[in-house]
Amino acid sequence: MNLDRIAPGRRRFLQRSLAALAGGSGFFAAPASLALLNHAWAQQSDRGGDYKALVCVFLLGGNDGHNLIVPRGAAEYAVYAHRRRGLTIPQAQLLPIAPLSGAPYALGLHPAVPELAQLFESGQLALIGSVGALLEPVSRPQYDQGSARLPPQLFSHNDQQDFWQSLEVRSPVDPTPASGWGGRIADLLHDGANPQATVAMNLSLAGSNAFQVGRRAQSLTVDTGTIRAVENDRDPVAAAEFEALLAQSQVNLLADTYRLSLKDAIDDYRTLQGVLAAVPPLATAFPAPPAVGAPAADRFAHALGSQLRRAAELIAAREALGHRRQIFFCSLGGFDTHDAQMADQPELLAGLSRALHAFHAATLELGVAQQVTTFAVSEFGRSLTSNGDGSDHSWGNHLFVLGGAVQGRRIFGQVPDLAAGSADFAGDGNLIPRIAVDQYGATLARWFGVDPGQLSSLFPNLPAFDQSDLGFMRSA
Amino acid sequence: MKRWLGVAIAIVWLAASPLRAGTADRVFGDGFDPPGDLPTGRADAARFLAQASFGGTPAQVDALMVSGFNAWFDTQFAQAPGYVLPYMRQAAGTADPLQPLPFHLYRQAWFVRVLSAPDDLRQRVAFALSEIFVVSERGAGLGNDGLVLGAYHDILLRNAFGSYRQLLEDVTLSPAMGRYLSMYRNRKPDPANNIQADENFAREVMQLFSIGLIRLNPDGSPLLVGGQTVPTYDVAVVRAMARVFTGWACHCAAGQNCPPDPFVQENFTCSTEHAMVPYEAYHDRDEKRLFDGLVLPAGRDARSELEAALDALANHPNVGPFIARQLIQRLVTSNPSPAYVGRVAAVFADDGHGVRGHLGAVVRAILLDVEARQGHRLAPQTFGKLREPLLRLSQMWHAFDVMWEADELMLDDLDIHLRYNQSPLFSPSVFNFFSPGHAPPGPLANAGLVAPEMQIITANFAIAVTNDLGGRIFWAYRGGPMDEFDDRARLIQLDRWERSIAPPPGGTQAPAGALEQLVGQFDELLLGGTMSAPLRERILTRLRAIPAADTLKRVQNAIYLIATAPEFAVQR
Repeated sequence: MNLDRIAPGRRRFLQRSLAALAGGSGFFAAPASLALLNHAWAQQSDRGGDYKALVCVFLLGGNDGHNLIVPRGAAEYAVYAHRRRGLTIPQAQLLPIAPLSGAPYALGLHPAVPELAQLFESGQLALIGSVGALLEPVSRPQYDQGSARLPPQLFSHNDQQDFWQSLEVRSPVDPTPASGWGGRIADLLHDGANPQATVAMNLSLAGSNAFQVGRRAQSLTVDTGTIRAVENDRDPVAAAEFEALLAQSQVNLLADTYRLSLKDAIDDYRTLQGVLAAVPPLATAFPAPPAVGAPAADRFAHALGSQLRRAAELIAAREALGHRRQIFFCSLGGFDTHDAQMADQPELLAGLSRALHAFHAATLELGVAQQVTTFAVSEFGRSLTSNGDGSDHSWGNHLFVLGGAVQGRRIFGQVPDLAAGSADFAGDGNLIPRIAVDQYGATLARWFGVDPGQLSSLFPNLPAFDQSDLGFMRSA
Repeated sequence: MKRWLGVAIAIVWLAASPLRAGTADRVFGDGFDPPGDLPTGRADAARFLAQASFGGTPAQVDALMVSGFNAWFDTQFAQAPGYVLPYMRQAAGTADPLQPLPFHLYRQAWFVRVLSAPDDLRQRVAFALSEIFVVSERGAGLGNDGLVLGAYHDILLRNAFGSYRQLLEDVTLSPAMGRYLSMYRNRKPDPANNIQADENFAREVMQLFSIGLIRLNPDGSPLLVGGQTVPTYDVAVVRAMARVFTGWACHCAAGQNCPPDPFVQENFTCSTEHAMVPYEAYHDRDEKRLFDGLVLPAGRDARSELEAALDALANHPNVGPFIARQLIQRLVTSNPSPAYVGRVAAVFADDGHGVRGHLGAVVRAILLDVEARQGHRLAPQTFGKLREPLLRLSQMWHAFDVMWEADELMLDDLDIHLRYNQSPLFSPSVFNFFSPGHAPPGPLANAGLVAPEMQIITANFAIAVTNDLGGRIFWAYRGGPMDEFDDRARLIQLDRWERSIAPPPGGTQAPAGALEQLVGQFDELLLGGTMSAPLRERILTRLRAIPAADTLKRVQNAIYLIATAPEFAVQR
């Protein structure tokens, strides 16, 4: 693989370092390994050729960004603690970060994400403040007076999940089928970038999703476990007959939809079986299946890690798949912390942080760290105020982007003023987004190779905003 | 008289829409009988049972042929509910109502009830309700709690034919829902400490369990004003509703060591079978402004205020069409006509005896509607629904008289979600395994149609279910390898079908016409008589290629090629 051209002794050392990086404790015991890895990455930076991947990690339920990026300085921390009450993270536990730009005051990250903090400090991760669902810029007076044009059903999980993925406001009488911006990117790029593709470039490791639905382009859900085609060990002829029947089109549209989808699935899974079998095992260690009685963080780390591991394998197999562009969809559920937030969110974030850390190490191992950009998505932020034991649905949120091409160690967008009466919050307490999902997505799409002139056809609300590129990606 | 009700409805439906005039000619002028009380044949009976139960056995099909539909309903309504908690306690060897029970016993109870309980309709409706009023073992606070989830399932069973209003209240006050959507220990706002009431349950009880996000016409279509939908409520209503649902926590049974104030310290030692009870000190007594100008005045106690809010929800004009459409989708078809939804919603509004929200009447109206009974003929291209993965298995099992020796579940059944992407009370979120509005991209979405179940039948699971069904047909039959290997295996029984195609003594061929008859009977049982000619031909060709003496392999191939076929993937 990509470590092949490095001298054998050095390769073993590097592999051990990568394993340690992904493994956790070893990495922090020897921070010098990070410099080594950055060096290795620099050496290999041209190894990916014209290849790029976007990896969407959807934090289902609405992650509480107010506890991901937290004020660390005395005055701002006091405001934070006063506003959050029972949801306050002890000041001493915050992981300090030193952003090169974008921080209005001293900041720390949630104590459960030491890997993400390291990635931030080493320039591989950027934070995006106050991003959210918008159709046009909204000021506090506009929102408070009800004169703002807003996406429908701002605080409803499924509607906001749909909006984040589709960016469309659809009338119930609109006959056009819905699509997502990952799918629309594929509509635009797939034929040109992947003329030899053997499967769709939109690959989901987390099942059906609105993000990857194209107007034309297809998507494929890839199992995170063993890839199997249809088999019948007791009667292989019967299985062959079953497959032959799939050629027979069906009068009923539902049956025909199922038929075509199963037929494609079998073809695609045969392809994947062959291609993935030829991928050498990754040296990078991903989070192992949780032991019985293990902390929930282990479960979350494995749930997301197994998706990201399969994504890394599909990246390794990109040539065999005929892919110069790939889009992956992963998700982790459980972020709807109305209840027991102080117990549950740390486990979720710890799992997230470990899984992402392993994935980033895998992209280094594969020599594609500069070609792979991972971005977090969540349907909404959460209320700054507590409901006694948790937080409720809100609006603007803080997210992050990870990868070698990211302008790391910087904060884009806006870190809000948390004080009561702040103009960053609406009268009803919701954080007003300063960055639209359209801008967030367009910045990624631009890096991915979408022509600037095409962006507004993919991101329908983009024209309402001044900036179509937020600058968090290095120019391609 | 009842048998003509369907006809009368059909006439009203057809008369109401000029677009349906052509349909009327087809129904009444082209050899179709109007829906009657007796099934028109075994295929019709099996087709009905596929909609109304977890699948008809040959004996149940025969019984329905004799009893007719309405007598079948009467019998089902009168049938004692097959509750799961008593079963689970017996399996755990405990009589203690407070004894915690592991979740795997709930799964076991579900399989046992669904495959053997005589209250088929109730079990089927409860399953449908569990996909609307969703709680899940995967939710915070419910992990491996079989007791609280079994109790919840029994709430759905108990209310399946009862009053919607009662169901809504029992769900609201259930410890399972209380924990799942964090109404449990939800307390009044504390402005001094910047604490608001928890909005979780308040939001979802409106959005998912009762009125939905937008105003509906009586036929379930969105009400449009100037081309725009109209929200049913806004953020302020959610916040007011959140304050309504404050002050509820656990009931402390006699002999229990409960904390004196569960709002201060709570460790789930309270009864999880008993409904939550109010703790007035934590209930918000301020005025609440709800939807449609409804105001709950200040000073009300927790229970009377909760009753008033639930009354308001249950009486909202959206509830009938909102719940009717989803129940139709779960039982009959993914894309019901507005007229069908409207007819069922009308029964929700008044069951004919002035009772609103009578779910038994709603279920009967759904299943006896002309669209349910004739939809496969009236709209062959669009009628029906993808069978939920678990229903594909249960219907195959029932058709072939599933039996087992030990109730315990094999690992394959305990972890059935790993292959079927579905397991009772195990949804990934409160939005169920799939969304009622899911439209897979392609011809369906282009036609403006939905196929909710397709959301979980992704490439990997389409293959996994196919392989799993094949494995069960070829390994798990009475007298087969799994029968030898594991007495927990659910086994299909194929002997009677094998005998029907066995060559006569001294002969080398199946009796004349026996293969055709076999496939015809399987068509009736599994496909309600809708098998296409190409599928029939293909199966017969395959069967003829297998030596006549290998009757087992012939029967297995016939079942396999139907159970895995796209035609069986859809319930029509």
